[in-house]
Amino acid sequence: MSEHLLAASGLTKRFGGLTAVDGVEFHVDEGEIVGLIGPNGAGKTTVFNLISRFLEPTAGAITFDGVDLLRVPPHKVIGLGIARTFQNLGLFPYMTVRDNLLVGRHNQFHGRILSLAVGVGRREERAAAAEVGEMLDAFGLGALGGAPASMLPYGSQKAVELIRALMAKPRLVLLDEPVAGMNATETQTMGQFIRRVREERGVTVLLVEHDMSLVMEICDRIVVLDFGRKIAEGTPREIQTNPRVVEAYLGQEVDRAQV
Amino acid sequence: MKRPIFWAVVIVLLAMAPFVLRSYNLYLLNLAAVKIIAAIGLALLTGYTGQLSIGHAGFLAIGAYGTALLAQHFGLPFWVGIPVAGFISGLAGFILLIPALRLTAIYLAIATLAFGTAVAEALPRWAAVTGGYQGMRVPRASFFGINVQNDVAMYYLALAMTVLLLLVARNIVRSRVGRAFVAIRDKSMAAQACGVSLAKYKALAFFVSALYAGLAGGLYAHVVGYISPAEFGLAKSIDLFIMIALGGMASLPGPVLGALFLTYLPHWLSGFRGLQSIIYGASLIGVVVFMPFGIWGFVRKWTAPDKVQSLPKPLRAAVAFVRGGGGA
Repeated sequence: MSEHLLAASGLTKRFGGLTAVDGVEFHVDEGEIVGLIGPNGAGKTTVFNLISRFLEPTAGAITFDGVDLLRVPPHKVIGLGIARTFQNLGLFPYMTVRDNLLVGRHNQFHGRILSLAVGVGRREERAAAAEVGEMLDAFGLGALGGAPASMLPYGSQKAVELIRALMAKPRLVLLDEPVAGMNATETQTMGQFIRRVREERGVTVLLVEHDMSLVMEICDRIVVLDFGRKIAEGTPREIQTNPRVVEAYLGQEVDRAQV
Repeated sequence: MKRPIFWAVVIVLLAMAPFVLRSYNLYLLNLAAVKIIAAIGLALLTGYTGQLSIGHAGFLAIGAYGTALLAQHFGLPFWVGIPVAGFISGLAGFILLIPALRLTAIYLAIATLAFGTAVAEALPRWAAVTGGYQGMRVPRASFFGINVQNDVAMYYLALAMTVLLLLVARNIVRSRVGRAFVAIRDKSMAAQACGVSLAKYKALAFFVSALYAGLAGGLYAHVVGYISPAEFGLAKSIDLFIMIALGGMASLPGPVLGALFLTYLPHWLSGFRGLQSIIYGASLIGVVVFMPFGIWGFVRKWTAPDKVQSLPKPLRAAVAFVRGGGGA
């Protein structure tokens, strides 16, 4: 059915009486940068957590490259080619930057515990460690490899987390608010970074973000959620002029209160 | 001094110890080795993987009684009996996986406490096998017919086991396995998103940790020659926990230092009769207050200040727990 890289249909998640995601249908095609936007509480992160399999949907389906994602446990999602970052940083704070990135490659190491215990079978890890250095250099973070992740400035931590996601050689990365808390310059840098990820590595990107200037600038297509429902979808230009989107963001406070 | 040379010198000095030290001092070192091995195992589980256990004496008991029983009933020599008993203890570690897949932090600690207590209660009641409260004599260790049940021979066994198991632990923590352990401890969701299976690596951590404790127990049985249930109670589990908390639990030098400290401190204090437990308690509090990251963290603060990091949060909670402060 699916030529789409990622496709969700009828995706619904209820927490008790609250319907966080309500019959959402969207797709991401290979090579796209797609933005998932919406006011706070719209269900964006819930959608990410459904794709990452941290949550079980109440109803609906998600496929990735034709594979039924709902049959896959959370730790195997990355093996299909989906890596992600987290809203509040998913770095391991007490590990060095280098080790953080090596965890990103975890699913591609095959060394068996017994051989690792006696100190052999680490060639692949050494090769990956060399690659870590190249990756950090490529993104201008070369000097930071040995530092504990938590010692880095916030913007660099966000960048390291994205590099860690790339270590898995994914086909799709999910970025949960990649520029949250960043200043204008950092946001610019991150925006270019995300573009490079697509252009240089051919990685498809699905991102959740509140920074509209960034979203409008880098996304090919935008999906808008409000109260768990998809209310619009289209190019940045279409979205900017869509009255329902404007209403959801700027709001009619009185109406909202009555809902 | 270069690292390999430093370690070569340390090993040679340690290997020469029997020519210098009296038998009793060797015996003390042997007991220290038992504690070091068990503490390393606990550090891998609690310090690295963040799975709190205060029931580890149960695994020591399985290793010790396993070794003794294998020697008594099957005539297995110590160099077969200790590894086999250690392996059995490792398998028993999977028992704790059942709560560990559902519980964390202090709730997991309570489940492990229950395990330790169950073993400690079962030992005296299963008198037909274990000899009950009286305990049991461990058959003499012999190596191809030569009696090696003496402090010198046991010292070399203890030294070899300690060095070997330290190296194995170092290899583990430096590999993807060790990184997976720490990832689970610090951010379990991010760990899974990176492809780390919580069930698999928690299982591995419990197995390896219980294996170490079991091997330590087996060594203990032969070092002491006589084992009884009283030695494997709750106090022993808490002692082990204090060792890694004192030494610095998310490191390998930490448990070694902690184990040495807790072996020799009571010994040095034996002269101060009556004041013994007061000084003991005061020095423990002193270490925890003035070296919040453990003895190793304190050492690192002076030798490698750029590499010192604060203790991971779950461990802070654990330390607070040991200090009686509760903590989430």
